[in-house]
Amino acid sequence: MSKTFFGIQVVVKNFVSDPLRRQLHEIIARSDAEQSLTEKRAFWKRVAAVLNEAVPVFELGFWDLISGSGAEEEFESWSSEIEGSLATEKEEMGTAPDEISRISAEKRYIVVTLIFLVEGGSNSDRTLAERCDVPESEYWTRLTFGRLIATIPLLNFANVEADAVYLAPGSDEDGLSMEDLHGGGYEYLKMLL
Amino acid sequence: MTVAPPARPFSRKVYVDGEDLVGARWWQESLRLSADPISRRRALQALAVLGGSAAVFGLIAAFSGSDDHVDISMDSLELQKREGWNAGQQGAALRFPGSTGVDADGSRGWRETLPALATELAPAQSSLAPFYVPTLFQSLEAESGMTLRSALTPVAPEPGNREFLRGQAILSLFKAVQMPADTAVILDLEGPSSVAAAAGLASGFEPVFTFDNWPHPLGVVPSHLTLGSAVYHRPLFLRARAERSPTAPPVFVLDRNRLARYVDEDGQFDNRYVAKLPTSDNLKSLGIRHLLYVTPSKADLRELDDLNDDFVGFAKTSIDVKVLPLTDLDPAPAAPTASTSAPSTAYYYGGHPLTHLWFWHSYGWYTPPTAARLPAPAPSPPRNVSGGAAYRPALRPTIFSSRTLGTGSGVGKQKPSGFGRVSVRASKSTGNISGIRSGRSGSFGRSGSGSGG
Repeated sequence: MSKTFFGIQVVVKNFVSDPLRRQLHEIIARSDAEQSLTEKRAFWKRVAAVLNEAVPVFELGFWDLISGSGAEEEFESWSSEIEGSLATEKEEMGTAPDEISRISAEKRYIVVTLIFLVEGGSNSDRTLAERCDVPESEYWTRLTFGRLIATIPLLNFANVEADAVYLAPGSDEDGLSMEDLHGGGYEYLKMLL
Repeated sequence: MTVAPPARPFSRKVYVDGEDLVGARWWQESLRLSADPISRRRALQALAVLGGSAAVFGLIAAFSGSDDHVDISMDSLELQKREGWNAGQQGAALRFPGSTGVDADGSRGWRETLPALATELAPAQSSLAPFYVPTLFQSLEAESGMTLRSALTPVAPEPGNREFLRGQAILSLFKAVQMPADTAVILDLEGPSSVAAAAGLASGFEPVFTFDNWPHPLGVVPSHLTLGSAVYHRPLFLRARAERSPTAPPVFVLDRNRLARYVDEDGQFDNRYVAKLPTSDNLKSLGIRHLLYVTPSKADLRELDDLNDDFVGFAKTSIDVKVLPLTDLDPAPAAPTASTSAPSTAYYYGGHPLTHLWFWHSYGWYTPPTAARLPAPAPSPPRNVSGGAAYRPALRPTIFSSRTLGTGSGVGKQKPSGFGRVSVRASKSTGNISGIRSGRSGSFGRSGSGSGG
């Protein structure tokens, strides 16, 4: 059976007073270990609603849709790399930035990643294909990212084989600076227009 | 008996709630178990038959409804090398508007020279050979090239020969400063125009062609016209090789149609590609410190998207890049007292002999020697030229930008998903291609090859 991978990663400017991070953290923390299709849809509806409020402060992002034999590998690549390498070491947590790992102490940005593996040819696959069919000139716009995130609750989760959500850094006191995001492996992120 | 799906099919496999990351990952096991391992194994066998690992050919497979078929997204050039230049469109004609059937010397003997074109137009200097991309010219050598050689005809420049004359005008600018060896030219015009301008430059600059695709009757990139233009100008290139210095600086010849708009219709074959230029280190080893990037018009004052990373890299390593639109070079206005009504055949920066060397005032890399300086009184700077001299590369997000996943180092410029690829339908059991879809949507046409399935 063929599969399709859909992944979207967005860097959000987050001020200390913003509820975005706390809300996302709570949604993830309160999610059930076992979910029905209804619960799964409700979960993603909450995530999408919170992110929808933040579309104007999406700064950088990346998304990809891959159909075929590379889809499962792509899902595993994204999940393993994020779970394994988006770490912020505890000793970097002071207000003074680490010279190597933190160039700036202006920690305003958080990274939100949503990934999915769906059955090829299914309703979900077709929905993703239709919503991702945007002109190349609009690949990297906030509008497109908002639209793609809004697509997620529309999926038929009976066709979704795997899904994941990540929020980094996890600590409410930490964040990434724009200097961090312009180097150190985040070069693939696109500036959103 | 049908087994009912579980009430809560999603099972969380990972949950992280730390200072570095908050996240969760679920799998729907019932779907995972329903996948057909036999089909997957067969598909992998088919991919292997098709030519080795998926990594080698960059294949992406999806299963079709048929038991013995797999739909594959395949690199277009690899498909053409396997199935012929006109894959899926055997018998369709290439269109050569306005062709006269003769080359620049007026000869009709060009057809016999076609198989040697890739060799004849290769750089003479061994130091430039690694940067020559002979792919387009090699399409004439392949086994299937016989039908392409039959279909091909020379493509003459448009009346007025503007691009050739503008190439000569650029050459005259560099001759005025004794052909410095540390400046290379990049021509990024539509294919036939790039070839014509390169012919105008070729007695002073060594052409390094970088056309990295094959023509196709439905090609998004009309590279058959570029190929026809190379055939037309071949005698000029061969003569220029004998005239120029054996250490002449390079002119890299690009086809800006390589990124032509592809609308994913079944009427198009995606033979687009990304430009291949030397790296900063390569250029420095060649002694190049300045690059003149030549574009079609004043509307094109920055590099195409696939060159952005390269140009920013050049600037970081102190290789100065400036832009020159071809339209900054114009013929001098006819003198009102001229005894002849023949149009001017020489082009000048700013459109006048007296403004021509103002180019060096604006671009600043060199100063013409006294004898070649502008006659007194010095004219005002030309008003009808672009601001290309002020160009500085600036990083911008493009679909070709370096991309990495996670925190690894960059993998460099790469094709975006689907770029330069075509969908084919192949037999799982034999790997033979049975259908080729011109676009990436719609129905499959039958392949003209003798493959089964």
